[in-house]
Amino acid sequence: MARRGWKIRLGRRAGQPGPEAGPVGRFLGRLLATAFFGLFFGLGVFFTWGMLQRAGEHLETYRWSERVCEVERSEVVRAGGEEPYEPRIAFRSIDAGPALRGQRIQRRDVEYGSHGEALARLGPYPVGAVATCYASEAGELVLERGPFWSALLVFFPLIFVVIGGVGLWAIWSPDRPTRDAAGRPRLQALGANFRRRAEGRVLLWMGALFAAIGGLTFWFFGALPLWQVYEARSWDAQRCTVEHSSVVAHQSDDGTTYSVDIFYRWDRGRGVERSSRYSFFGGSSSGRAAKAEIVAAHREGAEVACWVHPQTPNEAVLERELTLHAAVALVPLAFLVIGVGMLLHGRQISGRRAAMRSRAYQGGLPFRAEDPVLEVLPTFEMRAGPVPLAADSPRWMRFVGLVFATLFWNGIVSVFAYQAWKSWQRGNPEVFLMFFLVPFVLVGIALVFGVIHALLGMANPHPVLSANASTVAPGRSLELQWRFRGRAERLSRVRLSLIGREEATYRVGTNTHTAQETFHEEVLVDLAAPSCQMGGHVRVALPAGAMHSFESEHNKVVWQLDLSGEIERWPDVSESYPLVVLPLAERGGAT
Amino acid sequence: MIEIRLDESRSAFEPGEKLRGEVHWVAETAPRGLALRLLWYTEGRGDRDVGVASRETLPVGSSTGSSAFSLEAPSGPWSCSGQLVSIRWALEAELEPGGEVARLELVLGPGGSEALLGQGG
Repeated sequence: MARRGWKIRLGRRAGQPGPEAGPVGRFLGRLLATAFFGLFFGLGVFFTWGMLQRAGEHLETYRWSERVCEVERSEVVRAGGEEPYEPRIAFRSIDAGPALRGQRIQRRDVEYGSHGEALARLGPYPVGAVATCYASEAGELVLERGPFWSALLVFFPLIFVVIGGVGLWAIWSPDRPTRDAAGRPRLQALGANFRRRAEGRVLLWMGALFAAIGGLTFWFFGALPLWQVYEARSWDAQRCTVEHSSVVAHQSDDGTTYSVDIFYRWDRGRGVERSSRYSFFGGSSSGRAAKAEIVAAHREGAEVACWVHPQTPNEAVLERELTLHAAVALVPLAFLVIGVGMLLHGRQISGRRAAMRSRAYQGGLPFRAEDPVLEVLPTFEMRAGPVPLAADSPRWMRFVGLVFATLFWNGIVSVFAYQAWKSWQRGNPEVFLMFFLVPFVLVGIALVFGVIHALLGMANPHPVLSANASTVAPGRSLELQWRFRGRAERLSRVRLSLIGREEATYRVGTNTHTAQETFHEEVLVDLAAPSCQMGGHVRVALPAGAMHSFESEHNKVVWQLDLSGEIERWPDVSESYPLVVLPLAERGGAT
Repeated sequence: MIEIRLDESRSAFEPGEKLRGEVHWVAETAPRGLALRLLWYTEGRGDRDVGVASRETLPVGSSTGSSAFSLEAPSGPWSCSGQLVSIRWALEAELEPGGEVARLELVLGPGGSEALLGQGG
């Protein structure tokens, strides 16, 4: 079978001429890539093997014989560690078969982070309960067979094995010959791996993923605890005795986080009950001091206030109020909002593109519904009559964008500036930090001036540009009308120009650059006060041999109308209006 | 060896015109398939973009032979040349297995000519 030829290339852009890495560079690059994918592959194999073993142990119990057992011991023990609660159980066979004893619910029992979870695990097996159990030929006895679905978990590490394996294969598989039998350079196929543009589908998928993860996380760690906080307002007040109290550290790749582990008991006259729930908002977070304070307020042996569920006597909580920690649970809500925003935007993009196809097809344009040219045209509408043209980025959008950029930049810089200022106040100035911050602070100040400039520009007269059609074609013309809303008498000069521009986006190393080149500039209107304040109309003709609008992933041919207005001692008016030039050689969208 | 030949040896076409021709091949063993693609691609400063307007799998029976094709040129994008961006059209044939490729450059545009950015637009 022919290899569809994707290959990890190091040091040049695939399919294009460019500087190629030398043999040493290529070898080092291959080594690095091998280490990267080898790690994926190795870890994947390790975890796959571990999970297969675990699944095998569980599945083996389905061949064991059924017995009848009686539970002799059933209690939760605090064993320590990050998952400190261990359900301890002991049972014996009571049927006619050989006498056996067991101490495991399943072959692989687990520990729990909360007392309640461990207690729930023991729920079906109180002392004295008679239950079905399973015995191996070797005399091993368990109360439950392992879950069948545990075998499916093996697919997760298998993904790593596949990624690592494919990566290693791509690095070390022999290169396709670059020369043919006659020694001539061999052509590489350009269109073999072509995929149609996603048209917003990537955004839809990403948005769905964000919304699903954000929604589920918020439901479990935000909405449900909030509901419990509301419900706990009617729980019964009780005095509880603290049996254990400590701060638990959780190590992970992102650093250490902390949680409180407070184990307490109470007695409402129906026997002693225990719980380890401090508040409804579980989990761990950075900042040990706050947790240590809580632990200090709940020392071992102390009598503290707790709240117990009126109907479920083993369910209790120490903190039933909304604490600052609860705000952390709202973080997933941001993911949910971002995800929904991406979904809506993706839907808008794909809908706009589909509508454009439909309009172009039904509107009498000589394009097939699946014509490839529709993939590379900016979205356009088929409208005649006075069509208002929309600026590519309205001034309010520029203002809001600048405000956000300024807040973001200065928000970060101010943290470090505050540290520098505090060190100066203490009489021990951090000189290096101060010098280092100078350019960042200057950019921050420039951004503030940018916001002021944009704010002043909001008060400018507002240009209104309309055309007799929404699109135009090479060799055809458009009738344009322009005027200003607001205080047009402040304008001292107005210019309207037709601009044609190429845009090329390219990568150099890990950076992406966009180069622009204006290939057509034609001044349509250039008027001084007072005639510029009146507005007017003008005909713009596209050159007969002009290129139509083009928009692919990295390359563009852009047509636009630039309207500028000068105001003395005030920010100028400057707006750009994209113009869609259709690839119509004989019939145009405009006259 | 693989080669694309267009009728009348033309290489410039108007949008909507028919492209007729033959693909000839000589291989060591009988190929399993022959893919023919009509595509555009960009050249210039930007990273390369490629679009396939149409693709066909031509019948192959022996290690040596030829197969005729007929494709319709789409409405665009037109061929053009600029300082930063150029758009080219080509017919590309690929033998399977082996991945031997032949490419025939074309011009697609009104009057069978390319648009020159900066010279009339």
